[in-house]
Amino acid sequence: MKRFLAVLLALAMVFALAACGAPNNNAAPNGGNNNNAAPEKESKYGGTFVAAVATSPGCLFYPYQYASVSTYVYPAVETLRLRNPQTGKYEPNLCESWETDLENHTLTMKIRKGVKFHDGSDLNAEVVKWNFEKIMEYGNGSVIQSPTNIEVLDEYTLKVTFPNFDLNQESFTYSVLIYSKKAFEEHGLDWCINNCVGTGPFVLKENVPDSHLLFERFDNYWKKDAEGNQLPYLDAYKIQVIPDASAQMTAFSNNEIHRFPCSDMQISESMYKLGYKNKAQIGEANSAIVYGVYVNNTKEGDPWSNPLVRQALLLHGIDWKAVAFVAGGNTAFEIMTPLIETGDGYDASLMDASKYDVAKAKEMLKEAGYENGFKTKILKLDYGTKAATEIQSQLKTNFNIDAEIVNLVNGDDRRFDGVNEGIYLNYGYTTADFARHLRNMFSPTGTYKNVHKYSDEYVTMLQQMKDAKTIEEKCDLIKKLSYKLMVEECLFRQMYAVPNNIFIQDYVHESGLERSVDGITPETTWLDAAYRK
Amino acid sequence: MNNTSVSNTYDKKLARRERVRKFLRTMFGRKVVIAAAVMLFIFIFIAVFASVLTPYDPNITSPYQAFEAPSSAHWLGCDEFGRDVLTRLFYGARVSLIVGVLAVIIACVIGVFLGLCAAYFGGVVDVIIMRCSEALMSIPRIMVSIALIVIIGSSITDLAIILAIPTIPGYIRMIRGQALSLKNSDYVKAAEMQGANSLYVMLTQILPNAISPIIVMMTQQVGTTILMESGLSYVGIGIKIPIASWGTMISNGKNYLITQPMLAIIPGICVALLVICLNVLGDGVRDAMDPRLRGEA
Amino acid sequence: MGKYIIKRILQMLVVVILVAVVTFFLTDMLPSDPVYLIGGDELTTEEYDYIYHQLGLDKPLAERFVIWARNALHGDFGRSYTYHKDVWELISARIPVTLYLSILSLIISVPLGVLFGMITALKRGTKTDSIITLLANVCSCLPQFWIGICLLVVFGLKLRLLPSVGFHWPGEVGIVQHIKELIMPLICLSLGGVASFTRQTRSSMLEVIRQDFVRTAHSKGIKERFVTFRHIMRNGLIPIITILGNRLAYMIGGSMFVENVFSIPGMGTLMVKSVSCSDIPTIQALVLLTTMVSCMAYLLTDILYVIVDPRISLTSDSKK
Repeated sequence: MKRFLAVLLALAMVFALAACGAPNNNAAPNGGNNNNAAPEKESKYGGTFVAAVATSPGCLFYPYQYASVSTYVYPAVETLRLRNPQTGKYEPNLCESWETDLENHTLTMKIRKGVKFHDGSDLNAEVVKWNFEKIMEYGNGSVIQSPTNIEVLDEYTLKVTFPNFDLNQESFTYSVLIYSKKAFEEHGLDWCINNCVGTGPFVLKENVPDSHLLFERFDNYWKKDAEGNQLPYLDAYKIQVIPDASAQMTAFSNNEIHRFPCSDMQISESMYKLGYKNKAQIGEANSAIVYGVYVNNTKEGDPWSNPLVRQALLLHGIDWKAVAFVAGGNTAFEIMTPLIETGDGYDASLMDASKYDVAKAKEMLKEAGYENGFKTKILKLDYGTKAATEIQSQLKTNFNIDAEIVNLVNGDDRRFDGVNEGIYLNYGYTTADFARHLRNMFSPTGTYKNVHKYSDEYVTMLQQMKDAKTIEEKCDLIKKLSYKLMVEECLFRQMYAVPNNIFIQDYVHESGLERSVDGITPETTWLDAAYRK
Repeated sequence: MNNTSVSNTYDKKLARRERVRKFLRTMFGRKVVIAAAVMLFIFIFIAVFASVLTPYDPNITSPYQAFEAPSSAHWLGCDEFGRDVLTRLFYGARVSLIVGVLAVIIACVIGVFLGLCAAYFGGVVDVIIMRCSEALMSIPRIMVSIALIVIIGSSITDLAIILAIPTIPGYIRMIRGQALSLKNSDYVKAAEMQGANSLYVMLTQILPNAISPIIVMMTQQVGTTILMESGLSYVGIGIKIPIASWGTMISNGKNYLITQPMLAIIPGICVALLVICLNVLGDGVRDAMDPRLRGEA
Repeated sequence: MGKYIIKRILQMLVVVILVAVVTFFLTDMLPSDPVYLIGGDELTTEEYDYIYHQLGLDKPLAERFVIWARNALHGDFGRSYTYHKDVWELISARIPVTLYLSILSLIISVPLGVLFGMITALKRGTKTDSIITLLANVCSCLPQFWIGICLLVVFGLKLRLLPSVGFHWPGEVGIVQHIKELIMPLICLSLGGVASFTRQTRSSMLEVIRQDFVRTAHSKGIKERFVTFRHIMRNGLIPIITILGNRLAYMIGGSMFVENVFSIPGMGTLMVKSVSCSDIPTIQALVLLTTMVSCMAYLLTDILYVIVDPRISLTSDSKK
């Protein structure tokens, strides 16, 4: 009797939960109408905007640890220039105007006058120089192309000299975040890691680790809107950490949060069923997340140090379409080149070099002497689990390769410094600024220097590319370099791209000022009156 | 003369067999207990013969079959990697049973023994055992587990030991509490006066009467251990990918609770069933060990 | 009694020191290199040596422990490697939330659990018993995050009744919102506890009911209710007190999954992160803290044992 009841109860729970799973089609999203019906004369001011993120910020100080800082500090700290993703042109921001001198490889910048930081100090060329010096002091000089000289010409003019000739020089330093020098001198590094004092529309008021960042309106913000009104419109801006994707979805439907990027295909599909639309703009830098695989070829005697093995597996042995499908569902796609073209010169024919052919891969492995497989590791971060599992299964089934999956806590984990053999799954490249990637990441002085051993040929060609005097020469070299990197030496391969899903409430508006790199301009965001709390 | 000694030993054997028979009769007197025993046997059978029972490999992925609905080819459908859920459930039984049951047995044996000693001998022995067990119990379970896994590794037997360690003090305290109140009861004193040695008294007099809450604790701990293992894989550490276990299936399925709830529910039901079976069996054993129910007292 | 308490507190100090030492040595075995954790990736040899010296890693293990202990006594637990903040500041910001939730959940689960347990024990064999025991069995097997997500989906997504994210004190958002935010996390935390207490109470009540003295009391003709409450309760309480002690001691760390699902910044997240990231100062401080809380909890339960059952002597004399 008890058992019967047990089974009955279990079934009841099963059905109850399955019913929960069936999406509720009646729940149409609340909110106003489309953006075009903007009521005239109505005040845009007021309200708190809440954006959701999945992970807690580690560091808020860009010079110290620049990766992913901008995702958390953008309401408070601004960049020197902006880039219009549609046209590819650079627009002034904190830097009013600039001149590039390719012959002498210098960039002269005029800093905007009358801009104040949150702590009252002034923005001038000294402060910008200080920011650059700090970036180099913490070993991140490659982000600003390691300038050889930074000179203050007058109070608001700065001249930066770079080591090499580079056709892309105009793009250097545009995305550097500018912090207050006074704040650092008063409080020290540790304070700055947990706080951000910039020139942005909002001031950081609260930083509760693993919970949220709360920013409040900065009344002395320098930007004004088209009618001359003081920006920003919002009273407060909150970045809420919500680790669980289902919780994000629930919070969004409940109007507790106004924006969230969704990386989980299942949740995205549930959102579509609820009637929400994906607001990510296709073609922009943040429209898809690209993932890539890096190979450690520095260990003597390790299978991966043999280029034949690398080519066999990365170009022919793994079914990347399947990996893409597992990781991102129907909308994910295999990719080998950067996501967005801007004519930088990467070789679109790269894809032809990679054909899924297990027999060929086996041949190549046999030739290399690994007919019976070998043991290796797949190092991944939290988001790479599905791809890693799929790759592991393919390697085992087809080639008898035992790959152990190792979880790294963060990308800076020291374990991946040439000590751990194997392959590393991480983000790839969306923008086609491939010359920059080749310089900053894939060079003997770049980010992956501990993990990749480059051939002398490659290094020579890299230097030639940096010194190229004409665009044709440069593009030609980039083509050759990318081919060398991804096909001949096969040290890196873009794996797949998953289109980003960003959900924004209908009652959130932006005035259409030039958009920042992330596509977010907090100063121009305003909410419908009914949703201001 | 020889006859009496032979008949004595023969009597003893008869008496023992009679006790065993009474024990089994009491234990399996209720139909529910029989059903639970059968269920447990089925679980063990599945765990041992998993490879024979299903044609699929639990670890090979088949991406384009992800989330397939139940069909004649896949009775319970496929998971997010296209692997057959039923197959993973079977292989997972192996891992979960080993981890859960082994961990509990290890913890129980060590914990009960130490707890009995602490209660019975008292004094310095008691103080040392109790303070050590408090020390172990103070360190948060999850921290101990993560730290030990990072240092030792996470194979199945390693995990069983690692998950057992934080629960040992629980047993120590429980049995000590029970034993303390029984220590001064009549039958214990009677046995002592008859000159029985400490071990005998502990095992035959105190233990049977103190065992009931331990049995309840044990059966509950199996479930808790499996869930703890699930929690560890949720954090990213538990059993190595791609080995199937009910705990990892629950933890992976959590991401799909809204769209594909079955992936997490089915292994959850298995865990629940296993725990219920063990509970019922535990109740049966406890009833059978109670002298009054056996009809002796 | 007083002397006993003092003796126990002294023993507690010994335990705390023992735990601190063991943890120190254990964390030393964790594979991460703290110099890189603090200084970032790009370090020249001089910078590495400098930070190495600053952290005091060039001193022998025992000396490092003494330095740490000395600082700890002054309340200085060092800086967290992952959060770059003072460890004590970090912990003291999160403890109130976790303690609040844990104590509330205990206040809910203990009386409810004991009540259900008594009901099922007294009504053994009836339908009420079967249903409640069954529910208790099932609930104790449900993972906390599972319950959490189900609640989230039902009350947050479908019914839109309760807020899904965050935690605020009543002063910030008003008492109604505060209670709304509490409901779902509390249910998650308490369900397992209620189930556990129910089962344990039932078991020990049944034990006691069968024993002789109850029969004796019955035969004396004392009213049933009186018998139940005084005699059964007293003796059946021992294992329940034990579990209570366990749960009190487990207060600080047990809420990790609930915190993750409902985005509550509490101690559980801190614990997992600190061990995963090998944040040694934080680990040390956390372990020290939980040790002290645990020891107090166990002292409390030992005292309760004696109050409830006078047969138990505190000093637990030797056999003879």
